Amino acid sequence: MKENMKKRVDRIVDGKLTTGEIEELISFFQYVLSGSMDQDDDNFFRNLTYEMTGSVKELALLIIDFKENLKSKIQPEITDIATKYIPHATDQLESIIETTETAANKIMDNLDFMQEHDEKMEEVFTALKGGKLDLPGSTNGVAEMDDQTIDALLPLIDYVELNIQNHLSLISDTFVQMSFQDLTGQRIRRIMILVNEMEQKIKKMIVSFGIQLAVKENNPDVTEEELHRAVAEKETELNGPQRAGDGLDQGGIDELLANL
Amino acid sequence: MDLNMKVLVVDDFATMRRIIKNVLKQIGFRKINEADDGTSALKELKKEEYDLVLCDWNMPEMSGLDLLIAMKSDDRLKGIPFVMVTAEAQKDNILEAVKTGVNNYIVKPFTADTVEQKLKKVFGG
Repeated sequence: MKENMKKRVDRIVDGKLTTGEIEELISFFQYVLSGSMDQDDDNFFRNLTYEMTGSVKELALLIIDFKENLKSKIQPEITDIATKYIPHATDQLESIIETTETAANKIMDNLDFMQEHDEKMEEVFTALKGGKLDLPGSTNGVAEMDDQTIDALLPLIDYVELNIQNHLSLISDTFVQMSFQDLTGQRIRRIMILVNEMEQKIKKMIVSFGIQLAVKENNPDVTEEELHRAVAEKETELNGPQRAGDGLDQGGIDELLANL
Repeated sequence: MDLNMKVLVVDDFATMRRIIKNVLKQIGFRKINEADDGTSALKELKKEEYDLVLCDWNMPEMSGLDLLIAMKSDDRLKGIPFVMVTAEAQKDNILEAVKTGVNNYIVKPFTADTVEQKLKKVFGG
């Protein structure tokens, strides 16, 4: 019994204590457990032991529960994040870029149209000031106007010209403001890159975890080194035809989870 | 500033190319062409004569800085004024572009006045 205890303690302290020190430690515990200490010390160590036992039990239950429900814990939570929510978020971000781009282009088409017509109006009023009425698209040709008529119309022409200028200035400013689409698009693309990286990392974690469990189940004596090798091999296999850095595909993860 | 000069606008975002072209037209430029990345811009520059390049920094494959470096290593292209139009306003990036030989730097979002002022600075009035 004592030899067994010595071996267990030696394993716990990872060979860092001599045989003499281990024996001393065991004697100390036996002394404590035998109740040879005075009453206060006895109570203190008893309470400590209860507390530790409680914590260890809690931990053990947590591990047992986790192992028992491993599939249900991985699949609905982490797997959904990696295979459903993150790709969905990426799609939504891409959709935001597309929608704002379409809207921005439509707005700019309208602005182009207004700008073109305002510029034509400007030309008409400049000609009018010079006594010529030249309407775009008119088949009647250029009508000449006398000085008296021009003088009478001048305040109106000036007023319209000023408004066209203001209008053109607003159109120009609106064009520049449309750069929000490019700026938000660039930022969204950066977020998408980050989200994709998260997706790949979570998928990799699930696969690594799953492979280790599967290998351990088949061979409980497998070494840590062998586990790492098995993970590396499976990952290479799953990455197969993809470009470097593209990570694991959905099929590989589904296959792995099905085998858990 | 000669408004008859030929300008190449380089940006991977079509919206931004359209905005820059519109601003240039408002200033009075009429000969404006566009390219959607650094690689096609370089091809275009080798094919035709240009007097000015307005280029975005962040582009896939070949960035604005890569295009500038490529132009500076080409005897025929290294003298073409190059203005970076970008959202990258970090000091290190600006210094890197200046070191490479950029003629001016316009930060997005910009106004038409800013573009005109920067171009006048490049061409002197």
